[in-house]
Amino acid sequence: MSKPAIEIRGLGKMYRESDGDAAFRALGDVNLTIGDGEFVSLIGPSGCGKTTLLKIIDGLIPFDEGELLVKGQPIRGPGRERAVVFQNFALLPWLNVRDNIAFGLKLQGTDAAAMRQTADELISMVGLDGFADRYPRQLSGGMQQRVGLARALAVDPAILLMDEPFGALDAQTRNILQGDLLDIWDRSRKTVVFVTHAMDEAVFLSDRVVLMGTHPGRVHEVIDIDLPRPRTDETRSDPRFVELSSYVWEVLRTMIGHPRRQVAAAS
Amino acid sequence: MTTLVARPRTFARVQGGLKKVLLRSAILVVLIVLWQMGGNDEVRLGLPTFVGTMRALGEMLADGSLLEALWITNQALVVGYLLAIVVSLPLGVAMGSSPAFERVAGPYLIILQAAPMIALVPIVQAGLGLTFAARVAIVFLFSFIYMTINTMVGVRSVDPALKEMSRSFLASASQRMRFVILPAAVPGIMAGVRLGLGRAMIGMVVAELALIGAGVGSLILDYQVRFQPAYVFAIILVVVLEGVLLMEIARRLELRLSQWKGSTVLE
Repeated sequence: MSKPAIEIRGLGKMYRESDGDAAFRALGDVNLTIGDGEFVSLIGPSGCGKTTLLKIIDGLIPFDEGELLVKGQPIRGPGRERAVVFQNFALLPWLNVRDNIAFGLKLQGTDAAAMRQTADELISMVGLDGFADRYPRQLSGGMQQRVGLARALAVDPAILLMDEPFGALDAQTRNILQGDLLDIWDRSRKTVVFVTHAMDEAVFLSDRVVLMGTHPGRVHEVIDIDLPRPRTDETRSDPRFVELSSYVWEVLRTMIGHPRRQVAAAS
Repeated sequence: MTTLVARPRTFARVQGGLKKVLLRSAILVVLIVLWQMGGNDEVRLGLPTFVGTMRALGEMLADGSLLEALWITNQALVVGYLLAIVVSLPLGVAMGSSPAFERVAGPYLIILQAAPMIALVPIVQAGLGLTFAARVAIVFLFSFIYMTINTMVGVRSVDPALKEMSRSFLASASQRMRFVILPAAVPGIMAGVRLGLGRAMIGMVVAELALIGAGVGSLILDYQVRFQPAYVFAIILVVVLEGVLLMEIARRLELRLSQWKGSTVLE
């Protein structure tokens, strides 16, 4: 494997309280290396900073300690090689599907014909044929997130950052989108960092699942998911899948069920 | 999009609309009959009858005095209102997007909002005399505050997730303003533009009635001092009709431009 896609060393993030003195440590000493083309999920109890970490990787949030390299280069702010699929879709309600998908390209100054062509290709890829001229409010949640995914893919990033993208969807829609995401990923082999709170989702999708702990947010354990690919609906009934999901749940339950004393006091 | 608007226009809906129109007409007829019965054209300080008012209206339309007055009055309205739009939209955008500027300018806006506008009329008159400019200034003062505040609130309440998304997709500050903040603020801005129009009309009449005799205001005063209430009523009726008409146009414009919000459907 060539140079890793993302290297995180000793990364720390503080949030300053509004009174200026007290600082809350959101992330402390996070170490994680993500290989090129790897699919990695971040999972952990709420407050573990998984979304914060994802936004730091995108460059939306600055960090205070440590080092973050993307393809060997330190990053300062968002870049072309990374794109985010947002939790609540973050679609522009006044633009139709095609224009939403082309939004990133438009910002880069791509000419109209190329923009339209790319958008139409992606509309097919994410299964939205016939919906190009619809507006977000005319689409179901699942379809809206397909638009969100297509918009991120449109700028052809090497790294796809997904922030609980299917969290707002019902279970059936979520299963279908997971399958479709894997198909797309299989064809493009982009590096994916996927934040989720669903154990089965993390196991089903990933090469590795990063379990994060709280106070401060940190990497608790990294689990290799040795399920064969391509993964299909049959994978979900594979004994190994069930075993891995239970194991992730076991670790999470231990973390949630035995909070340290100061945690209880803080909340 | 057109299909979505057109689809609910079923037979039942058209029928419902017809019922509404009939009911409204019936109420109007009842009001006019009551007015006619309650009025008395013989008493010069009393309520004129409907017929008497219509006769006065016909007379003023025939000799051109009413149209001439409306022409003069509306010049001040148009100039003052357009000036208010030109000033308040950039001001509101600046205040909405820069907290520092809002802290500086905000208190003055609140003072102007709290001040009884009519009390400013003598000050304007002292400064500008009994001129067209003075009437324009009063229309401006009446309308620009609401438009500024609405624009400011519209800009400030743009979904932070959309701003974050645009940052992630590498929008420059000016791109963010053009492609995200301004379109998102349009409904708020348009609501202010509609409210401002109502206020501008009040300002227009107040200016002419209170101090600066011109146009419709001076025509009203003329007939008032000659104890001819039917004429006064006729003029006021026309001003009210103009107001209703202009507000309806503004409302439709607002609905059309805010359609993506999906909360309202243009009838």
